[in-house]
Amino acid sequence: MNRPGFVSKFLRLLTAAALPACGTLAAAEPDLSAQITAQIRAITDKCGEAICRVEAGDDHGRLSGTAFLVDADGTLLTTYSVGGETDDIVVTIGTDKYPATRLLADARSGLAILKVDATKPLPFLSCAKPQETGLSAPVIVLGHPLALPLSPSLGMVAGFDIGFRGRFFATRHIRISVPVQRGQSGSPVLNFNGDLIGILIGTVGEQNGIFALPIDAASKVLRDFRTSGRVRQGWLGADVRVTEAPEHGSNARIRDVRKDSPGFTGGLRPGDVILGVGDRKIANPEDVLSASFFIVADEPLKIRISRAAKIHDLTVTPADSPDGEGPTVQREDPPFLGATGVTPAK
Amino acid sequence: MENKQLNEQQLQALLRLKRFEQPPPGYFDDLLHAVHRRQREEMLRRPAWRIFLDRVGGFLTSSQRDWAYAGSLAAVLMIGIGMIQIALPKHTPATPSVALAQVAQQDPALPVAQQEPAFNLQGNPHFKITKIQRNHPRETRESLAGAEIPVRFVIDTQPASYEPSRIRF
Repeated sequence: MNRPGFVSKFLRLLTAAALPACGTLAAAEPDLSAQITAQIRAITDKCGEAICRVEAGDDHGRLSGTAFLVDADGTLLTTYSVGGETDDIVVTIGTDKYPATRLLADARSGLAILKVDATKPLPFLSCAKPQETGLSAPVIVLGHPLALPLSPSLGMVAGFDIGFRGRFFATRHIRISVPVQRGQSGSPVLNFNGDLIGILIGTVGEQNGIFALPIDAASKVLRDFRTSGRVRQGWLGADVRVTEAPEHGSNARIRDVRKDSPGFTGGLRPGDVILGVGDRKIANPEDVLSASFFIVADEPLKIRISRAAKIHDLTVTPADSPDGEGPTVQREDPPFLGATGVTPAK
Repeated sequence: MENKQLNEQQLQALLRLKRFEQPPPGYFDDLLHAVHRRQREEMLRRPAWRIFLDRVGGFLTSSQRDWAYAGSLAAVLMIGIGMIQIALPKHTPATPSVALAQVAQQDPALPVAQQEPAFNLQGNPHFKITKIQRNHPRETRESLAGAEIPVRFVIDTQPASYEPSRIRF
């Protein structure tokens, strides 16, 4: 038997059989870039009608930003800098222009709630489930940059930060790597299902990254307005510091509790280590700062603590701050990442 | 063979002699001056135009005198100068060429999308970049008060709740 001849014949037959199969496989598997393009286009088409350009006036002239509808009645969310202290607000939805009124402006969260009088039900964005977004998740920012039409920007979740360059946010923000332009303040941040996960609040660096307020924080502000007509920041009256003896995975220890505070009434005591605030797990004082944004005055709140190595669940009813302000955060030595705390308001 | 050897001996003697032969004192001191003097004497014997052509040809190419390169370079220079002169805006010395305006005036000939609006730095509403306008007559702040103010497009460089170490909530 002529082995080389046999082997070459065999290889030729194998190649002849394999090539059509490979071609079929290649034809069957769709191009990844085409998939991404199609998905972004579909989300833009689905959500684009609910995203608007906002023009308003202030002492320095006219400004322009982006807002989006959150219900069919014409309620919009945008940033404080676009709708917080401005007047003569005009919202462009599709090809129609509507005058808008300001319902609420909250400088602490950076949000403004606007309202237009809609003659027909308007399209609006749906919210993603809370805590559904993870690190490196792809996101899309849809907004109106400069004087241009609605434009998508593709980005990625790069982190979740409570502060930046030594300063604190009201709650943990989503940091996203995505290029943005002026005019996109207030743009919605969407996941790849087209659900809302945040709102563009500010930029990081040279407009190649953004900080977004998570949508559950924006929903809390909206909910407060709808139930009480204002933001109801809850106050507990506890001073929290970093402990050198963590318990059950948390190093946030209560240093002091005011005797006349809701925290004391609910059973908090100095020395307790906070393990959870509401449904948010606590590992350090930064988590307490972030979770405290969601505390609503007069709404009972579950707090899990560790006392003498035993876990206790307390129910506390926060109150409005005595002087209209909530607890304060003060930096200690070592700096921010090492030790921060929550102190009672004066 | 004997003649050959003799010639070789003579050659070696000659070489020995040459080894010890030295130029007269001051020969190298005056060597450079002597070379320059000989060059000047040669130049005096040649016409000046020939010397100039030789110098220019040597400057352009080391190996050949290719006048095509020089001609093309000159043509490119002339065309470039002409294009620059065409591209530069003409201004009459009689009117002021630069005016500082409080706000940028919109050029009605330009579409809205191409106009560059003013914007705030660092989100500070009290600071505004102004455009330097050319070929506009110098205007006072009062005369600009009624001018159409362009829209500024907003994006904050830091979140609204971005506060220093002491934050209230």
